[in-house]
Amino acid sequence: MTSRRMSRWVIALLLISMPCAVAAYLKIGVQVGNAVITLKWKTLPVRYLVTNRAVAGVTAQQFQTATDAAFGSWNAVPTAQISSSFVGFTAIDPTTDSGQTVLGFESHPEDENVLGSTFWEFDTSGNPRAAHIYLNTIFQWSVASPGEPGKFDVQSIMTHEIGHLWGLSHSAIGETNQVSGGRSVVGKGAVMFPIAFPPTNGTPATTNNTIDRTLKPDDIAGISDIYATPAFLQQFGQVQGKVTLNGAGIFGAHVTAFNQRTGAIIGNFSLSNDGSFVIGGLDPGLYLVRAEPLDDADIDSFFDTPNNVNINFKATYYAKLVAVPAGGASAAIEIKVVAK
Amino acid sequence: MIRRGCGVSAVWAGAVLAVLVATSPAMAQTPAPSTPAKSPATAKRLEFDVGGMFLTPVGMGTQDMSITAANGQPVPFAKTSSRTGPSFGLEARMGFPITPRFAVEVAGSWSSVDFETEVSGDTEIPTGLTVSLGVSRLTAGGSATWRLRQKARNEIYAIGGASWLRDISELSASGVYDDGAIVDGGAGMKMLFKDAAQGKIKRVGLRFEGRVGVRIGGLTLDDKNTHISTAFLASLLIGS
Repeated sequence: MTSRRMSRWVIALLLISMPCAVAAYLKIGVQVGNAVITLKWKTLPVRYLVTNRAVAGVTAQQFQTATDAAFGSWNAVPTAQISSSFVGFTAIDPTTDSGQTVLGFESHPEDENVLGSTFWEFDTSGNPRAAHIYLNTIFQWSVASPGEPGKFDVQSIMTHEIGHLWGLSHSAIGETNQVSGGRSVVGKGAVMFPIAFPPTNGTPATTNNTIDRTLKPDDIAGISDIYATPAFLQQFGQVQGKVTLNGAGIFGAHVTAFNQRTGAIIGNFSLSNDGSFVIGGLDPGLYLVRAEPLDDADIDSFFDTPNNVNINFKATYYAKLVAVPAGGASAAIEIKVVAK
Repeated sequence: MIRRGCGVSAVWAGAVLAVLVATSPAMAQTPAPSTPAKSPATAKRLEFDVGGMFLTPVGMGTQDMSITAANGQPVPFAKTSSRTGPSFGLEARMGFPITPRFAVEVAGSWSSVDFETEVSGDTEIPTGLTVSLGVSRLTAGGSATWRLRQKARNEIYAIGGASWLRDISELSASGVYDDGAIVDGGAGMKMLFKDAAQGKIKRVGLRFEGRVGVRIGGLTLDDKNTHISTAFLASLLIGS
């Protein structure tokens, strides 16, 4: 049996507003029978083909170069064991189930707000055997180092999509504002945030959508959590606990851990009905831990079952700083929130 | 680096203690000068101190919780300001005279230190709050004292030393700790109520001391590995 899943990145809308939320990375789960397993490539390097298709301003060769750099950002994470290899160009479309990993441009006018998508083919054990990424040709694209006005940056968007390829779902470390037709991104702290920065504008640019070529601590923690090196397991730690409302667990709460020493924000979600959460990939140290409702992005960007997610509570800090050891977990904490 | 569990030791601190302990008895057993000492202090052997300690607050900087805007600038959604609060503890020492003016001491202390972070300007939580964590700080080390002045039964001295430290956090059933060191110096005064040449207990008095130290390592809430701290001590002194 081969199954497919898709993750999309919607276009950003231009607007400045007050920030209103943060959260963290989430891993993609694959349903195998009654169990859900983490999407993780068992065979490395991931060998990929590039569709031999150009768009205005970007040749297939340039797409491949930008894609190679995007893979390189992930491959360079020292605490994750991953690798990739470019095999060659192909006439196969990215969305064609071919048993091969194919990336490239493809037109999807029906997805007018989708910059790019990632799909997988799984074997019967739930392991990915191929992935497919397309960048939607209805948008303008660029591979210029500083970005180009009015165009989206191929390398930045591919860095996000390749994060999906490796098994990361969307992070909610970001702030958006609801506007007609969607959300505008005010700022974000993870490449894996579901909404892209708007195209670079002006000269000099007041926005620069090449920012997402560089991974953030939350991205690094996420990829390291899935493909951990032995050193990662020894040198980094976790915050663990649960989020409760009137004694009952909350599902889908965003919990973030803030390291005041480094400024890093890393987090996760409470992923069970008792409100339990674990935030991994933390530098040893003292952390400020905060729980908040997932109200800053569309819930279905994160969960397949959005109705189970409780967003009717107020953002709350845990009353104490939390000490995270190297190679272990903090004492279990309980963040008691109150209803809105 | 915060660690978990046991088995990490400060070799240098142990070595200092070993040297002090190994050498001091021999020094203490050095025959008295052929001429009688002018002060009973020159004939004293061991001195014990036990007392209380006050540590002044130590600032640990500010840090914004921020994300990145499309123009590359940080977008803060909360601000934090951190410090250790005023703290109290206990300290015990044992001193060994080397010369009438110069002595070495071994010391150990425990103090309860509150690490505090004040959060303000959170876009979703309008009222500020302070989040804290209790930490037990243990130290073991050595110091040297030099008597600067003696008048009647009062002595004024300078002190300098170094200690190994371990910060053990609250909420650490599994033993979360971080090690470091303190290098400090200061001055103090001994007020003796008794300063006799004979008897098992030759000296009794009070000791007051102020020290400024550089803490290296241990738990921290900023990106600095060193912090300046000030300690004041008051203790009961008993000398054999």
